[in-house]
Amino acid sequence: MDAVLQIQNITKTYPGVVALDDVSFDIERGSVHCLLGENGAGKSTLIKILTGAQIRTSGAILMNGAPIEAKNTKEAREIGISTLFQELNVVDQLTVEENLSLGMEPTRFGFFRKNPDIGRMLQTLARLEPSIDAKQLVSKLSVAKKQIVEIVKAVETKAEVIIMDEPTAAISEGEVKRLFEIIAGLKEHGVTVIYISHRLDEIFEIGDYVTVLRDGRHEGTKKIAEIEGREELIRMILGKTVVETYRPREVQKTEKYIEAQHITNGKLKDVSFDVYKGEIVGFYGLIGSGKTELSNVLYGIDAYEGALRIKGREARFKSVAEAVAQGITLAPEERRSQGLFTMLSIRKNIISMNMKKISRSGIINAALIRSVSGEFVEKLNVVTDTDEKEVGFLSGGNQQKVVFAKCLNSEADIFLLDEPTRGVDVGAKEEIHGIIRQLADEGRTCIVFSSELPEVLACCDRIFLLHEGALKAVMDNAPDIDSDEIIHIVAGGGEA
Amino acid sequence: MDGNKKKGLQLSEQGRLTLWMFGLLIIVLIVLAIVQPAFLTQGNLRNVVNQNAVLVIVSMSVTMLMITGNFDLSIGGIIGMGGVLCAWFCQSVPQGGAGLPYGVAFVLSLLACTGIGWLNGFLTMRLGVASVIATLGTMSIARGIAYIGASGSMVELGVPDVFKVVGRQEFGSFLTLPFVIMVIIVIAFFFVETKTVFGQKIYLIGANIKAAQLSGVKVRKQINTLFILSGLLSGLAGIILASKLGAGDCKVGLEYEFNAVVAIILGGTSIAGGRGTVIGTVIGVFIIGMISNTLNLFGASTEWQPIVKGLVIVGAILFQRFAMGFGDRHKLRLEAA
Repeated sequence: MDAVLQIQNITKTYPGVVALDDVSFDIERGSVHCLLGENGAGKSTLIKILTGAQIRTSGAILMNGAPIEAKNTKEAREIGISTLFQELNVVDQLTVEENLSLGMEPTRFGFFRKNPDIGRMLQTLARLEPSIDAKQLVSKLSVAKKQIVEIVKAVETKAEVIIMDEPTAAISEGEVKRLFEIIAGLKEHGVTVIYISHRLDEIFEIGDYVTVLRDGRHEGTKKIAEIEGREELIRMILGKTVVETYRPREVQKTEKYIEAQHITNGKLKDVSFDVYKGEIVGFYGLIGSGKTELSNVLYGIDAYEGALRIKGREARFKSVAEAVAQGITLAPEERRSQGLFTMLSIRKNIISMNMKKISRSGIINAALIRSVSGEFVEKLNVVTDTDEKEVGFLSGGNQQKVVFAKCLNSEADIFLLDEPTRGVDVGAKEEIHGIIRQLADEGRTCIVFSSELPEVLACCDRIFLLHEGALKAVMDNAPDIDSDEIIHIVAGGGEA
Repeated sequence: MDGNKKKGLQLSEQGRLTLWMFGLLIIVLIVLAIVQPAFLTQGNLRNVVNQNAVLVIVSMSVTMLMITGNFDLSIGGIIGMGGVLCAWFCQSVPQGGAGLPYGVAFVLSLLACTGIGWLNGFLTMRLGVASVIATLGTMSIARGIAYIGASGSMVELGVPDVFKVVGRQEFGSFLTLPFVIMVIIVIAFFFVETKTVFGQKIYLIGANIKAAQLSGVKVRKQINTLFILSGLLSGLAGIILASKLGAGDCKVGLEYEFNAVVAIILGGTSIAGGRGTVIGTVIGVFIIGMISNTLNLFGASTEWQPIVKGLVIVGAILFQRFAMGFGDRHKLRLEAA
């Protein structure tokens, strides 16, 4: 094997925590090497060590056979390791051209000068994505196009290794395709890609090798071609066999909890549907199909025309507080910025949506807060030593459980769940799907808004397909449902 | 992330900071007592306590506003306006006043000040003006009303004797009515902060306003209430100061907004919101108050006092960072990046 990078016995410890424990593996030149593992398995720590953002405790990294020692991301880039972080490293207020020059323009007396290589960079850009205008402000570009700008920059700084940290997390399926084509092109030019994603399908599609980390240890590195299937990968990630298929549920369709008629606003086009008590329905569609807008209407955030009946009563919410009072609750898409108070404790987060329960005439009862919080921490299996821990320090999966606990505590019977498992590792994903099923079994209605088809297929009884703000089809879920048909519809290919 | 180690530090962060500031207060007290023997006399302590009571009163609601991530800079202007209006309302007609009974004047003046607080809430929450700008504007408006009411100077002649009670009434040789009012208000705010749903919601809003809204917290109503409360307390403070002086002086209350903000930050409240305590603010007020008192005892000229005050503030903030293990946190932040 012609190894571009050799990771040898890397260990990283923080006081009291071993983040990486004696990890060793090689990365072949010109391959797409996928890095997998649950949240907290050590992926991000390893990436940070490779890019110089953190210093390893012991071990060595060899590039082309020689040890390297990057002290920050800039030095790593100079050595030949570029990174596409989830938080993209482009400056919105500058043009594409200026962004390409940024960070490597030769400066004299601190003045900004045009990069002499800019011509070549623009050629590469034009080859990869002709629709991007170099004079355009980056803020006007989609996430996918911003990524391409970054890739161009990496390629033209002679990157031998490009690390991509969940590049498909926020881009549409069409853009994913384009990204994969670009990655294939990079391979042809001998560039190595280290690819991190939670989406197993992608890994089978573009990966050559996969390395799995578990609890900071190296679980194994394998050729993708030698892997039997999803199940084997999941087994490596979790250390146990987990297969997620839909288990049909019995729903007594007697009581309508939501009746939506001709809901129309700027984004939604004449959407009508019913949802019953105890049912889990999934709204599936691409980004921009109107999922979030629909949840905003149901939660009293956005205005609309048309009629909405909640539990048989006419509803026209003027505020979120009114929707909450009617027994509706939302687990928002952006967990950290909209769902949680990350600087506050688990306990304070859990009680935040229902202060009435822990107070009398406006005066809070500390003992009641402790017991309510303890009850939900236990019920939802939030992994923590104390519920006084700040939520910001929890893993993604545990944070989402806190959001669920908060919603549960509101005693709502309609749960709006927007991307309930985004950025959550495989194990916690299944746990959360189990929680959703449990909520519904207990007689609540759950509405899942998701851009991940496996998620909708795994846990929803009925699937509502959205395309550009319109409801295109409603399907009953079944273990043998035709997922090709679904993809056909949400991509705008007509009705079922 | 080093979860285990940070946990102990995070859990008691607020309490620990308050404790450190209380320690600093004691240290300042001891140092001042040593360098200036006159400081520890009963008469002087009485002065310190009573002189700062009014600043504590106005800083309470401003602290809560700051925890929600909002400023109220209008308090100084409202103090001036409250004192002048109350004096003018009860000033006898021949002297140019309105000649109303004191009780009516008192209530009307508070209502007017509350109105400015309401306006702050309206500008901030309804029209979306940043609270710093909105309250800077209303500060000027309130001050302007005070100037007009007092014709640029004071409302003094023809003010009834009862006007002078609220600021001057004493109980025994140590306690004054303003101090007693202060204690009651501090206890009330401490109770609201720690024991009520209202208090919990303040922290939710400061920690993440969007998440608070999506959790069904009536953010607008909550912040409006605090602005109105702030107007009310500033009005009360204005009436107390005017009563002490025996006249409604349009220049009273200058720099109160500055002093309040300094004391609040000194007390450990974060400008970014989400963290802070009213008890911390009380400590902050008294640290500053004791230092300027000692400067007076030394006969330091008033021109030099602001410089010393400024140095003390910067020093105290650095001390706070040290107390919070700033180096440690800074390092962690770099690692997380």
